Order: sequence, then C-alpha cells, then structure tokens
Amino acid sequence: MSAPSVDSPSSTRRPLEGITVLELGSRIASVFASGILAEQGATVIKVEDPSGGDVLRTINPFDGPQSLFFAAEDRNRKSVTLNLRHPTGQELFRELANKANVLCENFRPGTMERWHLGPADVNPNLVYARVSVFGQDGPYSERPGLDLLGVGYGGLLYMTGPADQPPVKSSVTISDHITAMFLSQAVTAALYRQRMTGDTSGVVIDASLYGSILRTLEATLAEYAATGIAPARGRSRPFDSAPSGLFETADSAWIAVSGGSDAAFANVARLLGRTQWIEDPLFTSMQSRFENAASLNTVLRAWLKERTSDEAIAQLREFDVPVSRVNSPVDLLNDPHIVARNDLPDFNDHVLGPVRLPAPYPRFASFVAPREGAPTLGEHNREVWGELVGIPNARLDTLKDEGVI
Amino acid sequence: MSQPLEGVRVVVLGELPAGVIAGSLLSDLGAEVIRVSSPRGDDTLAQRPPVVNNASLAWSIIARSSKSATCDIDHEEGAQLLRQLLEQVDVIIESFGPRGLEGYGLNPTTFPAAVVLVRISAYGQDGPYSTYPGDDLTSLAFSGIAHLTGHRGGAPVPLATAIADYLCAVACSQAIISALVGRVESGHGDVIDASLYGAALRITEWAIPAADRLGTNRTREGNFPRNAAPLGVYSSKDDQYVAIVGGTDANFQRLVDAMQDPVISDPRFETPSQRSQQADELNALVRAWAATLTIEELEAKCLASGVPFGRVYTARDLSTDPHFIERGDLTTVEDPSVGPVIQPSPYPLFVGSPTPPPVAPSASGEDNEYVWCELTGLTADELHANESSGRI
Repeated sequence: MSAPSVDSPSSTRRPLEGITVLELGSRIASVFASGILAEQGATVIKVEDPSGGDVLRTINPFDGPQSLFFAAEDRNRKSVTLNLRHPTGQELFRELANKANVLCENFRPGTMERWHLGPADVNPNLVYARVSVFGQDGPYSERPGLDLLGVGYGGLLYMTGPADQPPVKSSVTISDHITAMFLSQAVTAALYRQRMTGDTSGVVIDASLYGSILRTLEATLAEYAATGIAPARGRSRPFDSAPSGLFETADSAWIAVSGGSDAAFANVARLLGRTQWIEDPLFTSMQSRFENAASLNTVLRAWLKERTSDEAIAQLREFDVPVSRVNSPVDLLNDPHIVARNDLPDFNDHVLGPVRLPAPYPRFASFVAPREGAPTLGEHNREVWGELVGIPNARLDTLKDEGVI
Repeated sequence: MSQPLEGVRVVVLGELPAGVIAGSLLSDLGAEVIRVSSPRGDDTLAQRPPVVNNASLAWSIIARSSKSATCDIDHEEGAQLLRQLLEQVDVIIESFGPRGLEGYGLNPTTFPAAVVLVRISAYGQDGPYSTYPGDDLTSLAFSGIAHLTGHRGGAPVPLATAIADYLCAVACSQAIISALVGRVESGHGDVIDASLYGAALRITEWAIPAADRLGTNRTREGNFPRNAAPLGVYSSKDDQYVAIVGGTDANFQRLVDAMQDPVISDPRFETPSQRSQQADELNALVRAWAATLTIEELEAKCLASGVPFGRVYTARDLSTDPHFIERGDLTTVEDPSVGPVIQPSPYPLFVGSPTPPPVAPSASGEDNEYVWCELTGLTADELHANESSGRI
C-alpha cells in the first residue's frame, strides 16, 4: 500500500483545534500572537476591561463606530469583559484560566502578580506568555514603553533611513508584530512539548519587544566587533550586496531592484550594457560589491531615472533580476498577483460587515483558515461566562451591575 | 526540562535565506537541523555579507547549530540519495521555487504522509508572479512595508535588517511546529505555502482596510504619527536621538509633569483627538524642550514622571548595555572558521529552563558520514564512492 499523500488531506481539522487561549492584550503584540494561534484552530478569548476594553478600539482611523486598526488586529476571537482589579473579577479569571491552555498578556511586569493572577496563582498547566518592553527582569524591566522603544533599543531604528537625516521608524509597528510571531512560535513549541512528553506542566515565556528586534540584527553586532564601526544609516544593506536598493523612475514611482547576487549582478551588467563589470576585480563577490556599492548604484539609478516604472520592471524581469514596485495600499488592493492568490480577502467584521484584511499566513494545504472579524466589547459574555465557566444568568446580571464584567 | 523540539529532524534545501533562518529558529528550540547543499561548495548563502577574512559572519549566524551534508541533486543519483534522506525526517524546508522540487524528481505527493513540508518562495507557489525571483528587499517593496517606511514627504527606505526574511522565517517555524502539534493526533503532516511577501503584508495594520473602506492610501508618516501626539523621535541638547511617548491621556499628563511648561498644559491639548489634530504644534514644543536638555537629563526627567522614554541604540550601545548583559540577550559562539561571533541569543526566553547556547554551523559536508551512513544507510564504501564521483 502506498503512503497517503500529504497533498490530499484526510481531514480539515486544524492543528490547534481544542486549544483555548486567553488574550489579555492591549494594542498589538499579545493580540497578534493569539491571532496567529486562532488562524490555526485555537479558540481565542479576549478578556477586556468593562470600562471600554482594549485601547486599540479607540485608535484612528475609524469607519463609523469601528476602529479599522482594531478590526485588523483583533479578528478571529471572542470578547468577554472582566474587571481584573476587582477581587471577584480575579476569582472569575482563575476559573476561566482553568478552562484554558494558553494565556497571552502584555501588562507591565509585576501587574498580573499584583492582581493575584501571576503564573503561581492560576492554572499550573498554562503556557503563560508574557510580552513587555524590556522583559520580565533586568534593570529596565519596570520602565514604561511601547513599540517605538522596541525598535530603538533593539538597534533597528538607528540604522534605518537616509544618511543625512535622523533615523526613521516604519509607520507600521515592526517590533510589536515580530515579537508576536516569535511569541506564538514559542507558545506552539511549548504546546508541542506538552503533547509529546505527556508532561502537562505549564511554562512561562518572557518576550521583550527589543529582544525580537535584536534577534533580527543578524551580523550587525559581529560586524561591529570585527570592524570597530557601528553600522549606520545610508549604506547598502550588507546582505543585499549591490547594485540594489529602492530607486525612483522617470514617472516618479519607486521600485526595488535587488541585483546583488552573483547571477542577478551579471544580468544587470548585461542589461545596462556594462559587461566589463563582470570581470572587474572590484565586483567579483557579494562582499566586494557591497564595499563598492556606491559606484554600481549610481549607474543603476541613472538608468532607472530614464525609464518608466513599467518599462524598468519589464526589462529587469526579462533579465531575471529581482524587482518589485514599491506598492501602496491601493496598489495592493488591485495587484493581479494579490488578487489571484486572494491575499486580501473579505473578513466578516461584526460591526462593519465584509472588510478586506491581509490573509492568514502562511497557507496550510490541509485547511482553510477562518475569516471571522473582530468582536464587539463583551459580545461573548453569555457564551463564555455562562456556557464555558458555568455561571448562571442571574449571577451574570449581578456581576454586570457590580461592574465586574 | 527537555528542549521543546527535541527529537524533531529538519532538512533545509534551497538558497533563500528565510529557509535557513527558519531552520536556525527550530534549532534554537532543540530540533536537529541538516542543511543539504551542493558538493561543489557554491552555496551562495555561505557568501552572505558581511564577510571578514573570507568568512561570512552572516552565514555563521543564520545557519547556526545546523549540520551540513552535501548532495548533487542536479544528478539523478544525488536526487535519489536525497529522497532516501527525506524518508527519515519530520520537516522539510525548501526554497527551490514553484515545482522546483518536482523538477528534481522529488514529488511531494510521494513523501511520507507524516512529513511537514514548507515551500518558501518569493511570490508563493501559485499566481501570475510565482516564477519571478525575489528577496527581502523586493518583498518589503511588494508587501507595502517599504511604502510605509521613511520620513514624511521623503523617499521610501528599506528597514536596515532583513525584516521580511525574518517575518517569513518566524511565521514558517511557528507554522511547522503547529503542524507537528496537529500531527501528534492525526499522524499527518502538511504542505505549507509561504511567500516571502505574505508575512510582511500580514503586518500592515490598518492600511488595507482603510484603503478598502475609506479610500485612504496610507503613506509614510515618519517619526511622528498622525493619530497620536506628542510622540516621536527628538534630538537632545547633546545631539542624541531619543524616543518620547506622550500620546495617551495618562502619558500626556506625565509628560506635562516632566516638562513643567505652561504652554503644553493648555486646554487645547486636553483630549487625544485634540492632540492629534495639533500634532505638529505639540511635537514642536517637545522638540524645543528636548533640545534644552542632555540625553541623561531627559531620561532622568522622563523616568521620574513615568513618561515612556527610549534611546536609539547603536551596535556599540547594544554590546555594552547592562540590561542586555543581565538578561543574556547576546551570545558569543566560537566558530572554527571565523573565530568568536557575537550574535543574538535564542529568543524569547523560557523562564526557568534556559536554552542551550547555539553552536557554529558545520562546515560544508562535515556531517556526511552521519547523514548518509547513519541516517540513510549507505556503507562507508558507498559514501566514499559517491564522494569520489562528486555526488556527495
């Protein structure tokens, strides 16, 4: 008998089905971490303060009553309200935690312990995932902050931007999002360990915002150790080699050209009529082209400035050189590849109805990821507190009146 | 406590850095990772700059803790050897491009059902651009991240590290582990399609729904976002860059307390929406204040009032910061072909069960005997014959 094929899934059961995640997040990092788990089948319950919930609900831009920031980040989850500062709220939380496998939180270190909800106070089998700016210990751990500090202390901000201007952050929160991805990876690994070993005891995961950025620095520190020069803004990125970069074309559009690999470099040289580059000892390796990037990029920049983006992209593609338009959000909505792969599908937002959001990533062959939109505040109180935790309706009404939920 | 991925064996094929990085993330968690590359020694990733004394520092880090086996899969006998190895693994990460594996006669439909196969490519396994080449830089551009990075009114810029590669790699390693979780009960692996751009696209926040619902085409906001103020990157009197965050009501009150400036206490700045409407004016006030104080003075005042305050660290700062040292964020790995290589430690931390430090990647082909004899079952003579013929 031949082995069953991995291309033809025997079921559409998603790998994290049966896992319940409590998300006590605000803004992005622990929200996105749990959202990734939800895409793979976990049930995520967002626990929000009854006085207004996650602050992301109040952040621009809005479409009517709904923050589109919240709609994008908080998809695929249930929302319950709970006042964690209230002793009864804390009691209820411990009951809820007994029904869960994972907890994701991003309060200032020590906050959960102050509420008697630290790892020692709740379900000992929880994978207890903690996000903070500086981590759970160390001299800076109690300092306040957010994403911007993560990219600043992590070393990314200083190196990003043009040489003659201040460092510049991305408009998108890089540190929050990549921290979330690392955290979801570590949580999933902890779940795997529990399942494989049968040892269900919990574990605490400590994810600092700066640490995720640090993990992407690759050879930045080693390069500094070797050269004594701290890498700064305005140079080519070493791993891109050259010619490469973002360039403006004759129609005032921007494109990315990545001509630094041996193969792409030779093809750029042929396309630009500079075949002498291929034999030039200054340009024989990725490292030497990186060191001599300015002269290569000057020629490429001038060549691109004389062509429209469409012409340049077509010619570079013909020569098998990596190239892309610098897409804006509107460009993305209309790009034929994005459309063909359905990378921006409709999600069923509970306030707005269908809203286009980035698709779950990456794609598993065996199942289709859910496309449920973000919940309204406390939308699932009856379902979670009533059915999952088993609190009678009458008591739920009292708890609501008392401001506990 | 055992490492979470102990007993998981991973093979990494192909030359996209994201695949090798994903391998290193799995090895950080205890998996056995085997890089299979050509015996001709032309693995371009091993040349990844920066290179010092003919050794790639980047390679030493992205491939850390990985074993190395060689195999000429352009030749049918080599491809057959690889096929036998793939029978012995849990996870395959490949980046040959759409139908690239099939081109080597390695059809995934014939792989063991329990295997988790991750196919990383620039534009994914299908769609009109799927055969185009691409990398971190083109993926930053294609995904919208480059458009959203840069000074307001200025040129788009790439982030200084390979963020698209890392986003893809982390998402892939998470997806792999998730598939392994599912496999414990189902016995089945999965096939995962990972475009390089898709992970970056996934983190574009509200840009897509705002374009869809409001017709707003979000663009570069520089260091001073429109939807919260005062907040941004300012310069101190001694010309150091600092991040100061006063957007929410609570942080704004703390900043008012720190600045002791009657102008900023104005009722015109009372609510978050008032402040974001007058962001330029508020940021100018903070900028002027920051310029009167040294970075040490600014830090002391902000921390005393509870204002989120950040420094903009260089590699030098990172290497010496006491917080990073105490938390063990940096590790120096002794690499026989490079020397000591300082690099980021495994991340995040599992509290109370420290992760063993990474080790240097094996040299090309260093683990051939283990991989081809112990795992795949060649005899020593067969191994030597294949080495002589250039198949291994």
